[in-house]
Amino acid sequence: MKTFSFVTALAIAIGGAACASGTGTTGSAVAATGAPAVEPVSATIGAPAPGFTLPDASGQPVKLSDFAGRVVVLEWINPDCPFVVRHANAGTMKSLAQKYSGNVVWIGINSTNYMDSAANAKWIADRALPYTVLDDHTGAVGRAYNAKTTPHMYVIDTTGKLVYAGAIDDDNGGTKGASAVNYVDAALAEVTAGKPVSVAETKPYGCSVKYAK
Amino acid sequence: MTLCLRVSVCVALLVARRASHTETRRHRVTTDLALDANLSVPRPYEPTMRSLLVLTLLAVTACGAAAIDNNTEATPQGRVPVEHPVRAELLADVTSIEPGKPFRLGLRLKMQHAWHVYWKNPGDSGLPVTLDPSGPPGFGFGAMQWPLPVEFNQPGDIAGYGYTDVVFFPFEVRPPATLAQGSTVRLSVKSSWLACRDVCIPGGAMVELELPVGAKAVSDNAATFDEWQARLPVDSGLATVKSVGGVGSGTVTVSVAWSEPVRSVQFFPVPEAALSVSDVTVEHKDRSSTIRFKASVLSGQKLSTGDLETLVVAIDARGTRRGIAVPVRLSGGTTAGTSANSEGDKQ
Repeated sequence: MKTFSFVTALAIAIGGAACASGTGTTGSAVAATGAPAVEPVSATIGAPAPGFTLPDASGQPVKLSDFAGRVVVLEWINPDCPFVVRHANAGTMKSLAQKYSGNVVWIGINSTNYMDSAANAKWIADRALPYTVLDDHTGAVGRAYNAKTTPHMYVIDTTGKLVYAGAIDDDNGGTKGASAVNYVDAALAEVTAGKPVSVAETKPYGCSVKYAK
Repeated sequence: MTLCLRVSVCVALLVARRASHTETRRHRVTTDLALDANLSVPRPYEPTMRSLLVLTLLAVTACGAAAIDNNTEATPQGRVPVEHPVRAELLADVTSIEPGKPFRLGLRLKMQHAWHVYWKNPGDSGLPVTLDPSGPPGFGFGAMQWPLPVEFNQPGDIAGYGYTDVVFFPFEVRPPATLAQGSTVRLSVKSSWLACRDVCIPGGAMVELELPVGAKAVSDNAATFDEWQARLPVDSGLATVKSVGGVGSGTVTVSVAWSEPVRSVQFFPVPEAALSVSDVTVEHKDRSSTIRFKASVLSGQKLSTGDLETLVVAIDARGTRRGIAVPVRLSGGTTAGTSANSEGDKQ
């Protein structure tokens, strides 16, 4: 019955997502900060993470370089994706962000082409997230990081190098419960202890990032 | 704008007839129960149901203030179907079970326009269709057979492999040699999938069939089973294949010599979780195809097998698609064969 329970749970989840995104997300994007600036490099494990500037949920520009010297987690999200909703319902990301809040900066990025800062603000409010979500509806930063799915997770160390890219855990079907291995938790435990990340790359799973055509 | 949540529990009842009848052996009634928002509403399948053959589809959709037509509703992300976009159905290739004689069942998924479900390797996103058959003690079940997939176009260089419109997954059923004549047997298939268009909606079904036990099995649904048999990978004669390279050298080259003229070729890898297959190029000329790709082990991970399963699909001048399963050695050696192996249609 595991699979079916998963299906039921996700069915509930996507319904919730549709509800959550009920206020219009079709409006024009926040233009105050202009086009997002992305360094012309792609994300590679062990190499410097591509820099970027994107508006947060209140429209204020956020630069990756603002967090130089700190460990940063990037979480690609889409409030309409059942995988994202499942993890939001389970509190997967939120509890992890809180667990490492002392020494890790957690940032959500939404590259969904039809969403904007208002949609991100609503998602943050609905889910009482302790971190912001940046508006990348043009997909420029998502493409620089080669973000394929929601969720798709990245960990950047204190020197600005990318040390993890991939899935949040090894449970793409949402059936493993407490026995799931959380790759980001493991990576953060290592990187915050000054150790190299042992599993630095996994295959992400989820919905495809809904990039602008 | 206020959106409400509606949970549609679509229950199709498949009512079996007795063994003595020959017409309208299965009759299906579809009942839609629309229930207003209550997240506890979706009910899991009740395995205790005895008298009916039950197909249960759970679908949850957002319902906007006004539905413009009967089939879809406007949402911020586009028009989403009121009903779940995928319907499941279970077919048998016999009208009755002959003790000890294998037969086939097949799960058919019918999708609304523009929706898709995923192949065993869904690509960069999505989830494969799952199929989990069960029956009385003594019944054995063969592996789910995957018809040739197509590749979806998704913005952002995100590969997606799967099926649109309709797909049929046949599999073998091996009944025990001792079954009481005149009795009936109930077989169940639990299935799940992720249906995507511009949004994704998970779905699942429990479909069941009751079949009588007879002295002699009589063929049924032959057209459907034949049509989809032709869309499974073939296991001989179509081509000779050689692969060179592996994860050590970074690049793998697969050379395919077709036994008949081929117009174009498509490549579908099935990498395990620790392996990345990227930068795929396919060159084709006359009867010769060259497929190149990068195979790399993800950082910090180990391969569990030395072979990469791949599927090479050839499209002939008439547009007919045929595919061969091509195992590729990843250790850097050379793999060659007079014909490609297939996962096997075990008939």
